[in-house]
Amino acid sequence: MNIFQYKKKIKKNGLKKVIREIMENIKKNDKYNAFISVNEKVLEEAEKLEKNGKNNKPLHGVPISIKDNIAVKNQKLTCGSNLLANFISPYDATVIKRLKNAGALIVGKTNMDEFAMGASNEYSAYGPVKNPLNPEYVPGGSSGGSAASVSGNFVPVSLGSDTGGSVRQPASFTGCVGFKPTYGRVSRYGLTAFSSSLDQIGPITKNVDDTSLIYRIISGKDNMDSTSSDRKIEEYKENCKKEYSIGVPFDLIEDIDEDIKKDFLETIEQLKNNGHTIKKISFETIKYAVPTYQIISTAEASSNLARFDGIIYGNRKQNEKNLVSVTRDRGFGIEVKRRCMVGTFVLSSGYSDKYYKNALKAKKIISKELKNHFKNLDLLALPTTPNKPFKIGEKSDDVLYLYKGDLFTIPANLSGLPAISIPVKKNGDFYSSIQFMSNSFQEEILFDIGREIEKMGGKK
Amino acid sequence: MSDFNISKIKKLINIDLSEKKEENIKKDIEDILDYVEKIADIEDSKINYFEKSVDVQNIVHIDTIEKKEYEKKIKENFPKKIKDYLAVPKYLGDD
Repeated sequence: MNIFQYKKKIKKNGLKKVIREIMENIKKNDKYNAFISVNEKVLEEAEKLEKNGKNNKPLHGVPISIKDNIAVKNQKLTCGSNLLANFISPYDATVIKRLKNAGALIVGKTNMDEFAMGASNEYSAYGPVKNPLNPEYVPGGSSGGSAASVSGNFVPVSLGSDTGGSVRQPASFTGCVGFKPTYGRVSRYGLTAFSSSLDQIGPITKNVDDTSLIYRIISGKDNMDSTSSDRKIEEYKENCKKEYSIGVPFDLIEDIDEDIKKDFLETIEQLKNNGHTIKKISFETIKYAVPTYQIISTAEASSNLARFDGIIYGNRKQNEKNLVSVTRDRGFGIEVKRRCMVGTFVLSSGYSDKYYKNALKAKKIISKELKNHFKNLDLLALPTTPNKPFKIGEKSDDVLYLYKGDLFTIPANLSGLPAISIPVKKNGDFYSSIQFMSNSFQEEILFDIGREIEKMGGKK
Repeated sequence: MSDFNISKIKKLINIDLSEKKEENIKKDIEDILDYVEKIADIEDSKINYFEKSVDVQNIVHIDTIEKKEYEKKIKENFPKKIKDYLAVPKYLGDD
């Protein structure tokens, strides 16, 4: 069910009844391990909302799940880590305040790769998440629990965070819409930092209209995040259909999964028949994308995660001489340790020029190439992922396979550009998805093309 | 990647690892570092890598002290408390 259908159900059955059903469903039927914790006070909150009378808020009573690295007041904030197993957030993230002001009810916190590091949701201290489309397979990551909570029909919307594709890739693996806004469009206040220059919060939904609605509510200037932008948010445009100029780097899709490639090319052909101009483009600098991401994100992570030492908060391991190092060893999982070590190494004296400074240069040239493309293009299209979901455990020993799977999603993070992933066709259990990128703050174009893809007979 | 010294990195990031864990993680990190070396061929010295990618501005605020309503909640997250104070283990020694 999407937001519109939930609103209808609430109107018909009453808010408390609907929320009670959702909570029972999560508690009894979360066979996908999508949730880490639930909001035990949500029924009281629903009652309060009902007593307030008017049902005139855009998200009145709409149940939403939240990735467990986003702060929700008085709820657990584990970040998928043992180290924060008992941490309770004292405040709401800005996105949560905005959702609550719009009438939304937060039903629970979703499972994730520890500190958002991972692409399969197998690196959670709370166990792997299963893909609702086939529970033997991964749901993607790191927002895998969020994606499973929407795909598994527990909630119509979930918020995730996207540092290298962590919203779009799990959305694609589970047949949902995933969206990363322009860097600076959505406040990061209350999002546990992984890689501060790349992180953005974004929604996972059932359709593009819901994505557009949530985006409108959570975005905008916030004094608590000085990187948030005060640029005006465009008005909602329904059916503003226009013929767009769409760039496609065809060379990049030669060696990807055959079904994904076929579905992508068919979609592009259909867009051409609909009147859009398709331009073959090159995207030379994408060859630097994954290494650049792995250097910059790990460097920032090694610094951001230094605060988790068990002194002021966290799951402290009481040990007189090595309190911090023992706490961090027992608190962090293997992927977090790996990335913090890589990040520390690439920043260390004697190596920072070779790795970190070159990565900053590569980030710059990737951004420049994309910006140049958008002088002549409205959109750039690629498949969201080069591969389909894999079985849980199948790729555990192949770290580089997981890293390379983010090839098509990482450029939007490195350049700060917005991007949307939309399912286009089902093959067996899973969907192929198409990803569109646009120029900074041109989110409306993404929603417009997304709605067109849906009308073309994509997933729904 | 022979340059990677896991013992030094362990100290820098303040983390204990058993020998077995160390062996497993070292191989992965060496593979990762070999892979990311791809960017070593970027030689353009004219690139201003500190220039921002998007047009957002950092704003510097004057620090102001505010009494936050959630002070009590922050203290509730202390791993160990003595009365209203954060408790840490006594640490004496050279290392």
